[in-house]
Formats: sequence, structure tokens, C-alpha cells
Amino acid sequence: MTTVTRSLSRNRAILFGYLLVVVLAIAGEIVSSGFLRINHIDELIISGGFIALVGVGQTFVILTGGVDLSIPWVLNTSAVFLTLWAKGDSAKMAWIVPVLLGGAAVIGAVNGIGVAFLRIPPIIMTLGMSSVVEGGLLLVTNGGSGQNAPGAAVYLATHRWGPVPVLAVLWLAVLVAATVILAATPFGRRLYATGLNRRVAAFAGVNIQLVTVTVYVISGIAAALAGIALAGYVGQSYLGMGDPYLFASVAAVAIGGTSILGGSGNFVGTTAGALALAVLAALLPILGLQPAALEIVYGCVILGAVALSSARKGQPDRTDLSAGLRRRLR
Amino acid sequence: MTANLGVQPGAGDRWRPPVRQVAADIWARTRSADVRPAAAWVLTLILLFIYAGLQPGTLSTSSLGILAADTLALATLGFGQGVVILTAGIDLSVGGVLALGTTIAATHFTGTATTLLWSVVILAIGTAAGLINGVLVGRLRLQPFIVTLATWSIFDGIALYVLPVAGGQVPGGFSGWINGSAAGIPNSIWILIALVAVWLWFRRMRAARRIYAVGSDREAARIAGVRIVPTLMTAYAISGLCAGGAALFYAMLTASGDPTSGDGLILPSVAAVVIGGTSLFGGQGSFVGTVAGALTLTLLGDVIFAVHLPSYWTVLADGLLLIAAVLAGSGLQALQVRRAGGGA
Repeated sequence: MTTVTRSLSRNRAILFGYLLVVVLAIAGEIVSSGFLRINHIDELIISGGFIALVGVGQTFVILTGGVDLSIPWVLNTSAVFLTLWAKGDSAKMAWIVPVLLGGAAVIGAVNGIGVAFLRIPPIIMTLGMSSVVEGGLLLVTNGGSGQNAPGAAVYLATHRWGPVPVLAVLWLAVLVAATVILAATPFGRRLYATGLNRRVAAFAGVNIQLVTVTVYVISGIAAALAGIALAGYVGQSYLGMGDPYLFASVAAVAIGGTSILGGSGNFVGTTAGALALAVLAALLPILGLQPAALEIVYGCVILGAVALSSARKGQPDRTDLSAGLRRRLR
Repeated sequence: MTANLGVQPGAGDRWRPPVRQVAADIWARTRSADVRPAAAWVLTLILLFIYAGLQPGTLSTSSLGILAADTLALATLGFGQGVVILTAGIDLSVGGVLALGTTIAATHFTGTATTLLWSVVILAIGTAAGLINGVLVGRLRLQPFIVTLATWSIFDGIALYVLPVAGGQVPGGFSGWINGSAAGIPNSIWILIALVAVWLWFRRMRAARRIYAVGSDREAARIAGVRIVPTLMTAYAISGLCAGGAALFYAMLTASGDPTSGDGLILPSVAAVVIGGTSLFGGQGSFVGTVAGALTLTLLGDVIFAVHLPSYWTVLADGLLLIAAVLAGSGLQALQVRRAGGGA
């Protein structure tokens, strides 16, 4: 019975996310006819795709009760090195992309090792890592911007197969993969167990260190992939291009109903969050609001979603096992 | 002997002079005392002497005044960040408040009257921002990092509305004040001293003791009668107020405003607190250490500049230093717990 109620409430959060997308899209069509033209829908899906790509990593990390603040600069580093090394030559991407994804995996692994083995709080570890990566990138580029993106990256980010953007296909593939991993593999179950209660998971035989390192590796790789796609979309790379994606990734996860404390949620929800944010971002200029409004909206959305989900659950202190035990013993 | 009520030592014990007792007592207390703030000051002094070796004249009053001026915004941010971290929280929104404060200063400070008026407004906005964070963290029991991440984004957005790109100007009298001096000592040093004095006064107050109590064991504090929500609200309000103050110092130093100025100071504000020996898990720490942490970070940038390395090294080094300080802090604590006999 409790399982049924819980699964219902979780799905309700996700349904709410998709409902939000529909309502916002209809609102867009009302204030500006043509908002739901197929071309513009493709634009919305593409801009949501970048949020979804960083969101998949953030979802995995947040499901274990962590957070990854290093996403923007990993993304930026990947974009800059892509343009720097390829010099517009798509053929070179055959070795550049594996190197970028591998490098990002190493950065993620270091984050994970810091959190899992050295017991550094995730915010601090990934904040520190973010600064290290930023500093490293600034040193390499000497503060200048990158070069033009190779054609294959542009193709990935902007080309359409008929009415379907290539990026939408990639997004769908990521969606299927993430959902299968989370819902139907032993790793997925271990991940949820770790997020629900590390200590109990460890007692139950889950290698929580391995799970933790793995999710940060996934987040690093996803951020690097987003960087490649974003460089293709913009046509070049520049410093600071990753900045909006910290708030966006967390906001998408929060709208998608994933608990910030970990242990419940999935990427189907984050997908709704990414779509909602993309529609919202397109809606604001139509309403005559400056781009600055987007940051305010991100903040309000995160606050609203988190407050709602905590009100729904009504038991926000799950992370502190000892406090919970003490309360029960009293 | 029969009339003895047990206060005398038994026949087999040797009488010990009380001096040894006292010495043992002091030794035990030193062993268990928190040495981390002192370690931070040692680190600061080492860096100061390295810098003095590289850059002759560093130890003159005016040079130290410039060092203090460069550290002021960070130290002020660290004051508030430290108070929040004492409650086992974190305040990422200080970046947003600082950015907003500098943009308001750069657009609204025109003369003496407006400067005074809008300074008060900036401090009030900071305090209000902190109160909002405190209510959300305390009353709704949301996680501090997610609340302050959200409000950071909101205040960054508002700052972009006030001043879309870096620029603007503050009156020369306002920015010049930081370089002035009183009684032969630069104003910046006076303010640092004043901040420490405020801390020493504050830590004796009941509010401070409540903050320490909530940070070291929230549930125990609640049972002991500490009201959690007002305590958290106080802590976050102090942090917001400090971020407002830091915005004023930042605007003095740069003589302008910048809507993105805050983002780069969030990590240093946490790093200053952690290098200064405050535990990220709450309940332990002091602003006396944080000042040393802030000075360390400033001096690190100065040393990097003095050896002609690109200034980007500072960004990288700040991140490494933060992680190293967290590791050193927890390592030191583990060592002390083991020395004290594990169970203590």
C-alpha cells in the first residue's frame, strides 16, 4: 500500500512537470502565434537538449544525495578544447571526442573519490574542482576565446532529419539509457539505496564508494558531451559559456520531482524539467523581459519545486539518521 | 585516620605537588584545544614573509594597509559565511548579494547623502536576503545549499537588471576613504581590527552560543530549549548583512560595480572560513581564524603576482587550497580524537 502511494506521488510530480510544459507551451502560442510551429518546437527541443544533457549527470549525482557544481566549467573546457584541437576539421573529432569524454571522466572520478573516500562534502569538493578546472582552462587559453566549431559538432547540434533534430534523437537515446539503468539494473537499485540511506545501503552490501564515484564520472562525461554539442550550436567556444547550466541543471532536476536529498526521482522527470525551462526561456523575451529575468526565474523555480516536494513528503530530515533515531527513542 | 572523610589520598599514594597537576591540566587542555586557527595564522605569516622577501617594502604600514584593503571584502564575507557554517549550513547566496550591492553602489551613489542612504539600503537588502534564506532553511527545513543556490541565482538576476554590464562609478570620496588613515594606521586595518572586535563581542552573546549549539548538535540544542528557527534566521541574516558590507568594500576597492563580481567570491569566502579552521560540519570555529584564512588567500594572489605567474593561477590555487584545507582540518580532528582516547 505504501509502495503504491509512494510511486503515485512520485509519478504525480513527474506528471506535474509535463503538465507545466504543456501549459507554458500553450501560453506561448497564445501570446505569440507561431510559438508552436514545428520549426520553433525544434528550436525549443534543441535548447532543452543541452539542459537535458547536463541534467542527466546532475540527476544521477543528486539521486545519491550529492550535487555537482563543477558541471559548467567541465562543459566549457570540453567545448574550448574541441574547437582548439579540431581547428574546424571534423575528421579529428574521431580522437578528440574520446579524449574529451575520457578527461571529463577523470575529473568526475576525482570528484567522486573526494566525496566517497576522503569524505569531503559534495558541494565543497565540486566547488573546489570547478575552480581548479576554471583556473586550468584560463591558463591554457590565456583568457582568450576559442575557435570555430568543427562541422560534425554543428551537425549534431543543429541538423534535422526531416522534422526531427539530431539532438532530439541523442536526447531520446540518453533518456532510454538512463531510465533502463535506473529502473532495471542492479546498479540502479544500488544507486537509489545509496541515496536513501548510505549507512543502511552499506550494511546491505552495496559498495557505496563505487556507486558514488560512478555517478560523478557519469556527470563529468555528460557535461563534456553537452559542451561538444553546445560548441556546435553556438558555432564556436568562449569562456563562460557553461555558466547558465549550473542553475539550469539543478532547476531541471528539481522540477522533475527528484528529491534533493537523494533516493527518489528519475530522468523522465528531469526531461520534463529541461523542456519546461526551454519553453520558459523562449517565453520570457516574448513577454518583454530581459535575459536577466531568466536567472530570477531559475532561482524561483528551484525554490518552488524543492519547497513543494518537501511539503509533499513532510519528512525532510532523512539524511540525519542519528537525529531520526533519537527522536524515535524519546 | 578514622575521622578522615576521604579527601586525603590513601596511604599508598604519593603526594603530588599541585604545580604538576596544573601543568598536566594545561597540557591536556592544549592537546584538546583547537589548534586550527593558530595554524592558519602561522600559514599567513609564512606567506607574508615569502611575499616580503619577493617584494621589499611589504612590511611598511602603507603596504600592510593595501593588503588589508584587498582582504576586507573577503574577510567580511567570511564573517557571515563562518557564522552560517557554524550552524552546519552554507551560504552560496553571498555571491548574489555582493553582486547586487556593487551594482546599486555603482548606479546610485552620487554624493554624500545618496551614498549614506543607499549604503544603508544595501545593508538592509543583504539582511533581508539572509532572513529569507533563514526562514527557508529553518522553517521549511530545506537544505541550505539548495536554498542559497536558488537565492544566489535570483540576486544575480536582479543585479543584472540594475546594471547589465560591469561599470558605473562611485564618488571619489567613497572609494578614496579606504586608502585614508587615522592615528597613523590605515583605515582598512582599523576595519579589520573592528571586525575582530565585533566577533569577540558577538561570541559572548547568547545568540552566538545558540548558533554554536545548533551547529554541533541540532537535536540536543532543541531539547535543551534552543529555538532552532530564530537561531538559523539570525545566522543567515548576519551572513546577508556581511555580504552587503562586503559589497560596499568591494565597490570602494574597484570604484565601480559588476553584476558578476559575486560569483568569483563564493568559493574564496568558504575557503577563508575552512582555512581558518572552522569545521564544515558545524559547531566549531572562530572568525579569528577566518581573518587569517582571508589574508592567506589575498597573499597567495600577491605572491603569484610577484613571481610573475599568470593571475589565473589564483583561481586554480584557491580551489586546491579549499580542498587541502578541508582534508587537513578533518585529518587534524581525527588525530585529536584519537589522541584524546577515541571515545571522547
